Amino acid sequence: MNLGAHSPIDTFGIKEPQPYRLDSQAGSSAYHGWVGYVWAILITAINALIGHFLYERLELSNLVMVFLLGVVFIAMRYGRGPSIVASLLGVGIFDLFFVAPYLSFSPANSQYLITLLAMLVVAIVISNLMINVKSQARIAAYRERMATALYAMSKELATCQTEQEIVCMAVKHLSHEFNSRAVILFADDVGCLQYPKAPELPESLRTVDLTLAQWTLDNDRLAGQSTHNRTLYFPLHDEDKVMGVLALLPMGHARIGLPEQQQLLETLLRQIAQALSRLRFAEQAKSTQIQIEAEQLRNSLLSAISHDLRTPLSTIIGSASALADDDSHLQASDRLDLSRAIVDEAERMALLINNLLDMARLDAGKIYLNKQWYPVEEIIGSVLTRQHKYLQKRSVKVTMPAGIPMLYVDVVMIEQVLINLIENAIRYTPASSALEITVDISAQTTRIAVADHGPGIPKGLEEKLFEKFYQTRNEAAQSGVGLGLAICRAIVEAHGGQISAHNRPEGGAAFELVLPLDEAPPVLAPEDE
Amino acid sequence: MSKTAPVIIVIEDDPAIRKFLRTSLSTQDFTVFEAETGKQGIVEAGMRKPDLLILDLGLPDMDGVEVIKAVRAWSGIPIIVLSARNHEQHKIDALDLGADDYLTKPFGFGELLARIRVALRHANRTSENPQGELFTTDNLHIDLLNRLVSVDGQEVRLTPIQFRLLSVLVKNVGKVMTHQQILREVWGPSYQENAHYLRIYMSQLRQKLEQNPTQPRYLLTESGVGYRFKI
Repeated sequence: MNLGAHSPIDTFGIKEPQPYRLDSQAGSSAYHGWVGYVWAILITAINALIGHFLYERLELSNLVMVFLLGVVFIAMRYGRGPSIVASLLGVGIFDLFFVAPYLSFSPANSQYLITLLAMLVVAIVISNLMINVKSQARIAAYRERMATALYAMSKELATCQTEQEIVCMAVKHLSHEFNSRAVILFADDVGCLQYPKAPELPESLRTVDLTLAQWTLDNDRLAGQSTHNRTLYFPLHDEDKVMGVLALLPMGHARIGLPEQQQLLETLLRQIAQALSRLRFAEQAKSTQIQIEAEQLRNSLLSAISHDLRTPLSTIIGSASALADDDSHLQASDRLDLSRAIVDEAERMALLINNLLDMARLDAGKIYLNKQWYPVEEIIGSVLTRQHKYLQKRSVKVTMPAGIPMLYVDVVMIEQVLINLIENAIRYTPASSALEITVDISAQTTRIAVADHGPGIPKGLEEKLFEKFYQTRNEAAQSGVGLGLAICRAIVEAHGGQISAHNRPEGGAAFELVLPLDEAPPVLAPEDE
Repeated sequence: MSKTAPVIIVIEDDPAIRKFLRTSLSTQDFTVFEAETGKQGIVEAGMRKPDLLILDLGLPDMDGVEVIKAVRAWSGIPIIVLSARNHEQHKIDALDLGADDYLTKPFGFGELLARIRVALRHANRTSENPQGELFTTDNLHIDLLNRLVSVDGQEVRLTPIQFRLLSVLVKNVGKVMTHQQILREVWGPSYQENAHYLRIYMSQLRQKLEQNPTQPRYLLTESGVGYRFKI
């Protein structure tokens, strides 16, 4: 049994999506062939029958026309071979049955050779014409199909927003058009091709040979289709460079070899490459925009820092040089004033530098939280002790219900948050006004609020205050770099909490941090006294 | 009785800070010697028989904590370490190895002087009067020998652990104690990981001894490092 031509696989192959073949032999293909000849014989036989009935009423020359009609029909429908057969058969039958002497090819009837010749010429001319018409129609249909495929793909490619989408879309269309499995490989930063990370390669494309694909990329030439691996590698390039490689594994009948198919494939590849480079240009433009914004931020940082560092530095250098150059004209009280100014301004500078360093550390994204359990009152106590010197005559009222659970936090950082909030309150409110620290809990959170009796927050700035380098331009107040609250927010968010600011109905601003109570605090059994 | 000026050795690689320390400490009747490196510092400490060491933790030739180890091998003299900010663990390591106190750069001279005085006083007391028994301020009275504590004349009842904790802090008055040191002395070496025990008992002690536990006067927190009993 010969499995070659009629194996079940071939039968299955017929059910595949219709291939777009441009085959000049289509008219006399094996399938059409024998049907054509059968029809040629059949129609000639019918003509003979018609001739037989009309023999009495028609002239011979008109009877020939019946056969000629049959030849024309066969030529139009089944092409050259069957029409020639129909001509030969027709003239033979005519000669045998309708021209005397009957049932013999009489030399006297040789004049009907001219009839035969005419019929043959008509058969050949018409069948050729029909072949041309058919192939024109086929080409037109093929072109239409190609245009549809191109249009469908380019329309979908235009809507793609990411490289991933483009690749998915391209692979979908290529697989459909060429009945193949396809994958697009891109080079990494150093020009080495990488397997796509997501989605996973389909099973049958695990045979993709990266070395061969790399060769295709490096040489910008087609590669592949050896005996054991039928995968083809096409370079994907825009105007000046190769962007990636398309690996295509044809399934079933290979249709890629045909020149028309290759042309379609090339056009599709160009489309894909264009879509990709369009996207890359857009990404480049976007990253340039981001760079410009980063540059602007850096400039505003530099100008803020240089202003805020130079101001105290001027005082320090001025006062210190006055002391250093003193030729005993300075009074004792002047010396004291100058040296105090130096201490104050140096401390202010230290604060600015600490804030800058903290922000840099937090910005680097490597916030390591040394979380431990701390009683809230200890945190507040430590902060107030540290700020004792700056609080001077201000009263600080701490309101805290009994039984507040311990907090699981990085205590150094949370203390920094509270210190920044208290420093802000000291900076922006009158020297003798009181501060209030309130702690309360809900089921899932602990809330710590620092409230003052100052002028409050200008309307609409409640959120802006937490942005980096944002400062309310209050000339009377000692300025900072505008980092204190940004640091607070970074720290609180690293703890999974939130920080916000609002004006209190009774006057003054309140800054509130809310920390999650996500773990059960440890409890000690009470001890006998 | 004539007292000789206490001898301080400053181990610090930055010449400007050394100069500032030498100048300002000399005005306060201290005799100051300097060392630029850890090695030199260890040699000086052995040679000069100082009363106190001021040690920078960031030295060019060796880690400051190595100097503490070397010195502690043969001497209990007070050591005050100088360290950069955000290096809590470094401070804790130094204190656990036997440093007496720390200062974070930049620091004021007043602060340094206070720490030096506390350290010298503490060293004198432990050598002269190792028991340590009676502490009295305007409103707090602690008698360790008779286990009596009173606030504003009112006796305060403490649990055994609370009392042990208080006595450890009081015996080291003025000196910063790390969580580890306190845990070891109060609960023993197997409780080293349970710093929250300590925090809960500190909180209880503050409730009993401080007028305002959120603004403590005696039982101070050294953020991220430990506690200090201040009188």
